[in-house]
Amino acid sequence: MKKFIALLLAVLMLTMVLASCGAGSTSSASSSAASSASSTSSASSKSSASSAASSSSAASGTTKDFSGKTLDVLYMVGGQGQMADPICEKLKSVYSGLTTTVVYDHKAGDIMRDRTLAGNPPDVFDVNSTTYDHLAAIDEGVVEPLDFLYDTPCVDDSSKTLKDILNFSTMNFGAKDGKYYLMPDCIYAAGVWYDAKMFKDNGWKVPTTWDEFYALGETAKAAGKSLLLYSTKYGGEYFFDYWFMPLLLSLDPTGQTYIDIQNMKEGAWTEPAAKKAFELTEDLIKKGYIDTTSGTLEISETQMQFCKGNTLFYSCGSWLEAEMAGNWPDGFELTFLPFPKQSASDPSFIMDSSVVSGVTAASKNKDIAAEYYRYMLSDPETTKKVVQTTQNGLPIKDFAKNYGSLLSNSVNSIWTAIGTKGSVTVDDELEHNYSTLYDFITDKSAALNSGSITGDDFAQAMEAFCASLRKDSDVTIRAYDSTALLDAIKSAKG
Amino acid sequence: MNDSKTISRPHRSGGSIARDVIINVLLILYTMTVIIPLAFMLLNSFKTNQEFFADFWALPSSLNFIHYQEAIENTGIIRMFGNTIIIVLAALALNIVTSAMIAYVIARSGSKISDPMYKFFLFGMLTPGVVTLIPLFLIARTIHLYNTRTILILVYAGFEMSFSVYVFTGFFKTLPGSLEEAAYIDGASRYQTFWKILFPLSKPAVVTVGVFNFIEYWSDYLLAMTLVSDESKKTVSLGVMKLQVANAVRTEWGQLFAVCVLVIIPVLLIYIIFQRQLTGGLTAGAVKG
Amino acid sequence: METDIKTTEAAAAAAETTPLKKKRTLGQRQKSRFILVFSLPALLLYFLFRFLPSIMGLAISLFNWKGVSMNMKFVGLNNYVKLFQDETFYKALGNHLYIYVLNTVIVFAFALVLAILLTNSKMKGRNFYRVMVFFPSVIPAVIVNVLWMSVYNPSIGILNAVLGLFGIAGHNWLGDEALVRNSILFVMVWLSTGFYMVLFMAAIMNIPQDIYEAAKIDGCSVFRQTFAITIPLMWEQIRTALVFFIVTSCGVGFNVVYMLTKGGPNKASEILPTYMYLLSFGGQSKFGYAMAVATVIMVLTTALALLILRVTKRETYEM
Repeated sequence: MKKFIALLLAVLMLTMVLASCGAGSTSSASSSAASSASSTSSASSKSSASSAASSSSAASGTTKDFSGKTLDVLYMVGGQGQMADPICEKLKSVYSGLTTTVVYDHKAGDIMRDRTLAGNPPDVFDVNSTTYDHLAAIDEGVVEPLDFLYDTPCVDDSSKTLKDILNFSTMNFGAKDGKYYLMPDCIYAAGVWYDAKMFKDNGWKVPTTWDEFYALGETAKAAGKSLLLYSTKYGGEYFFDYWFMPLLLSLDPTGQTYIDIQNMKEGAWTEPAAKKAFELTEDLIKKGYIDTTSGTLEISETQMQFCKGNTLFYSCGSWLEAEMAGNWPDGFELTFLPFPKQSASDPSFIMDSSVVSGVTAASKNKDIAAEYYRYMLSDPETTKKVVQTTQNGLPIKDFAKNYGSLLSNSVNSIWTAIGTKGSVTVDDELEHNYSTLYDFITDKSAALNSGSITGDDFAQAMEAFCASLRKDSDVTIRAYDSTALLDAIKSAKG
Repeated sequence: MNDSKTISRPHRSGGSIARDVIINVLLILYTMTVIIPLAFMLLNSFKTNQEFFADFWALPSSLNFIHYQEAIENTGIIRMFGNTIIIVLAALALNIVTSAMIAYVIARSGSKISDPMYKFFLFGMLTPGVVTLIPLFLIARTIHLYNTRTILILVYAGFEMSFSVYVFTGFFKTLPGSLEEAAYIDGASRYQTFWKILFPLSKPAVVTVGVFNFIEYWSDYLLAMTLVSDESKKTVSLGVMKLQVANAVRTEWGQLFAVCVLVIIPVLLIYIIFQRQLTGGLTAGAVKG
Repeated sequence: METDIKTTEAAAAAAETTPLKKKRTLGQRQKSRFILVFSLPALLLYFLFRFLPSIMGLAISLFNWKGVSMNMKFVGLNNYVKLFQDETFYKALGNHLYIYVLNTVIVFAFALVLAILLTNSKMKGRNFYRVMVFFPSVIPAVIVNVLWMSVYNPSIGILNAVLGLFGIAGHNWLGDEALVRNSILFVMVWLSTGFYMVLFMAAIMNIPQDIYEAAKIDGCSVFRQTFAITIPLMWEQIRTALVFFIVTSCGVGFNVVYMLTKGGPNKASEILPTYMYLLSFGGQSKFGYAMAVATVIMVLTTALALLILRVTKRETYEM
């Protein structure tokens, strides 16, 4: 018996070794296209100079020759999907002789770090900011400022350059000393979501004020559901950015508390609006309106609670629909909730967060990278495909107007809200600027949910932690440029 | 070596039935905590997602291999198997041969550096491996072997040196000196004596070290994670990790279980075949002290 | 080789009496070369890939390094100063000590008891149990993780399901701050006990029967036999196992915590190795600081191992 097993093992091993040698450099690209797990697409086939000298390339005035060159692209696995694929396909059809390699990996941040240290960074990279310190990379000269692509003419209208169409107000993350280093690939909007069908079926009114929202707590309880759910396992993001910040902004719609917090001002966390935000949340927890168990699970399981209808509201970003595809029950109407305001004349604050990409300073293919962005942002054919893949926003002006129809209902609902007069988009840079905050807030959010700290404790803890950051000589305190925000608030009210 | 017939069993006295019952209960519980999760994993790897969420405990309606298909497609696990086998076998060969060589020197040469060298290796047994990750990365980068299969082979071989040297040294010390004397009388050189006589005799130690290290290498994920970034060079543990990370985002238990089953099979086979040597050999090492 | 040594040593001794003739004999040179050739590969591999990295960490801990480029700033002992003021460090240290001390005590007590009981009895299932119970220690870490994730999961989990059969309420084993440490501890005990039980069983089987016979004749109870005979005669093995355990359980603990909870919730299960990982690869990008934690781990583990060796030193009984 043992001999047989040994023989079997030997045969199996031999087969594996042969299979792996045979597979060589080809990968499972084609078969993994359908899944959301990470995959390697090694598109290293030379494209024939087909009649791909299409009208778009003629209009764009292609005079460059990239034959023999390879564009090396590294992407994280996330809600933005495999968005580099349509862009690279287009590049290869326009520039014969160009090859591209695209890698999507869950550990793209580690790969970026390792390859940079090994002296072989990719040309274009898009990695998760929770595991890669973008700002440190910028500080240490790893990332190239985006200036090199400003003068690139647009594909659809060569009288305009990329600089003309870029929406710089979405590019705060990675802005330093007046230069921009990071390009949002996929802009999510975030906040609180609900199932419109559930509300209709139960005859509930969608809340527009805080009191209405609060009152739904008892209603939810009576129906055996919780009012609100947010992840505390990833609390630095889900609790903080998608629940706490909108709440804070609704409590102080002048934006001042928010600005003070972004500026790491002393006492910011104990300002009235901040304290109240903590207290209100604590109150919801004490009343049992918040599902505190599901928040400790993995994201997919937390989100399942929302899909199953066990909670009325779930705070998340606009990747939600695509991410839980296949799990939504029939008829579920995923809708964005404009955050309940204190008074009807207040602006409506919507958080946005982006997945960002950049070009490495060591890249020898910056000109090709410029073309990459050119087609991503200004080629109707390719840009459309990108938006269809990411199902979210791009950093170009009039995005909602030009491409909103491509988006799914739920995402459309949020971009519509953004486009509505009186709404202000805010992008929260706090945790990007101070990387240790993410962890700290995650821990404290879990503690708040479990009842081991009070809302007041949380505020005091944040104040103390930020004080220690201010004193830490290794931490750079970055000033927050509030002009864009204040202007937006003014025009929202006016 | 003890003859199994004289293995001691302290004489049973009163209360032996109670004792038997207690051990049985404890051991049955322990065994159940081993079998049940594994069975759960195996069974659910064969259920479709709907079946799984409908009832976690039901037997699968049929042997549905869809998750295995998905797992293989999504992770490139076949290639990872190939990589891992090559890397592990090479590392084992390297580790065993070099540790046997130095163990022979330590055990037999009577040289003054034997003892310091032995203690040098024991240092490796006193320090946990987790602290070496970042420096290893820097070293790999410096010698331009970062992100290669070679570096994993070298690192694996070097990493488990302490244990191998310990086992081989203990083993060589038990061999009678007459073997070498006879060889020298016949005119053999030191090299010939080692390769033709002593090394072949050390098969039990080779098996012990081989099996133990095989399991260490097969299970490793930290070193592989740190030193290799290319998909094409990853090992099986990283394949499982890939799905496990993906599972956090989209619940796909079935696929995750399937890939685990695939990865655990070689370990299971090795364990079944070499189980006696593994438990016996380790204890032989321990007995020598 | 022993006789070889004697003759060459004699020759060397003879040579040394004439200070002017310190020439080494051909035999000695050949022997030295042999030693060199046979030692070098192993030494090199070990030095480069195990020893050196272990102490390099110390050097790196004197710098601030964000890991994005090779830009490192020398800060001397600053990282250690910060470490000793770090609240999270102390929390991790507390968890670390709790888990590791209890793990050691429980595993060794349990393994010893089981080994003694199992070796004694004439039960038929002995080998079956040995095989079953040893198995966890060979399961790859990533798979252990998946197994226990499915056990502890509050909704699909095995544990809650089994408890449900008995009408006991389920819990959030990994998400509840109060429970998570013990949940982790349980997994670690599960992983190691079988291994050491088998180890001890073999050690016990080496004790000759006659001693027990003699003791029994003297009217010694089984209980006293254990403490007067079994344990003292196993002492060396227990000692070695203890040291081995202290070092390897560091890695085991890291695996379990890193994969099951990553130190959460709210650092309730954070231990020193996972804290080190969090600081570096986990996103805080403080590689120098992480190596300071690594140095603390090294010092702690090595000191503990050496201490145990010293404290448990006893006369060995000749058998």
